[in-house]
Amino acid sequence: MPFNTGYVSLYYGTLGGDRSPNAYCVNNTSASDYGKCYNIAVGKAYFVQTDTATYPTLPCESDNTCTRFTSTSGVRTLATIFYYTGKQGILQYFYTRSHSPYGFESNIGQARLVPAPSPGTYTFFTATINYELSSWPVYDPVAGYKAYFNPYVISAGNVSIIRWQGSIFTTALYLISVESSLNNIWYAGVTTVMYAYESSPLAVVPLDYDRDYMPYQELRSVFGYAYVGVDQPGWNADDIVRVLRELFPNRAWAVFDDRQYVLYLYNLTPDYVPDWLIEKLSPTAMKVLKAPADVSVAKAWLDALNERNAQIPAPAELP
Amino acid sequence: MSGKGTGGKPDASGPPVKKKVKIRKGGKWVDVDVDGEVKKGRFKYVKFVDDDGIDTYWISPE
Repeated sequence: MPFNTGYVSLYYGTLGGDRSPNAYCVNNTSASDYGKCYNIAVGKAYFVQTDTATYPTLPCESDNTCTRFTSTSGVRTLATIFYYTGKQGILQYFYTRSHSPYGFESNIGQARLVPAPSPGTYTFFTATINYELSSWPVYDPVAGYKAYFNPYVISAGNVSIIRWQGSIFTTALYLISVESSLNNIWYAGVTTVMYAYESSPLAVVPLDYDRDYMPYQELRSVFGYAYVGVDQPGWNADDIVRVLRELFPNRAWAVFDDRQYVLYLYNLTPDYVPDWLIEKLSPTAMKVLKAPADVSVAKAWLDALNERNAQIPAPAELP
Repeated sequence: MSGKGTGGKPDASGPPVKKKVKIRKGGKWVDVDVDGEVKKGRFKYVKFVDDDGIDTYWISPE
């Protein structure tokens, strides 16, 4: 198989398949329910409020419906979708929808507060400014870019949607949001990204990008990082196994050898390997390098993988 | 004989006879003594100890 497909959905308070999503927060400081978020379906919304003296804790922080930022940002990186050292990914498609107090700037020139993938640290998906002005939804056939503004109504704020398909080669992909250094703002969103990468041995281990991956040159030399913890290609399965043994002897991890189609399991048994992973990799064999001495280690691996590859059920069919 | 007490029938169970399964390995059909089976998604795997001494689950030919 020359290429694999990577697929990730990131949820910040609202679902992709919800028929009538209505996630919103209150940023009117005069309102009695200031700082509260409503109808949060999955994950958390974002709220930027730098004034910690007046607002030490927002209600949405207390009830776990938002992640609060106490500093402003021009362009905020919300997540690293992949970071491939020595390999390339090909971004092919994304869909992103957000609820926020703002919409698009100009026409579709700048999508404010819409979490969008970015192959770099700048806003890449800025289709032709003022193209088809005042005509929603906007479609730019050249860029393969479609944008919708307020296709449905929410209780407070606006809805912005971007859909893009095309082809961009990149070694790193981030999820960013253009906040324009605004304070007292909120947004909820959902983003789905599809990309491809060359078929390779894979390290199957969900890592914290900032804490577990970036500090280790050894890891970055042998395999790439992916948010989902599966699409992490390297050059050589033996090297991946060796480095993971050395760095994470007490954690659970797996390595997929795409030549022999063997899935090596460490601190794991097949009982802990989810069916969707077997369907994705279709290994001919699984080899238990080390059985888990402590099942909680294996379960932590499984839980993290399931969380990052959330299988959100489709909404019920229409009657 | 490993039976307890007296007068009972002798325990006839020796070491359990393992099921033999042919798997396709390294381009050849190989007989392996199976220790168990596990189903994952659409696939079924048979468990055995491979030549390298590692517990291995191989996709079942059935």
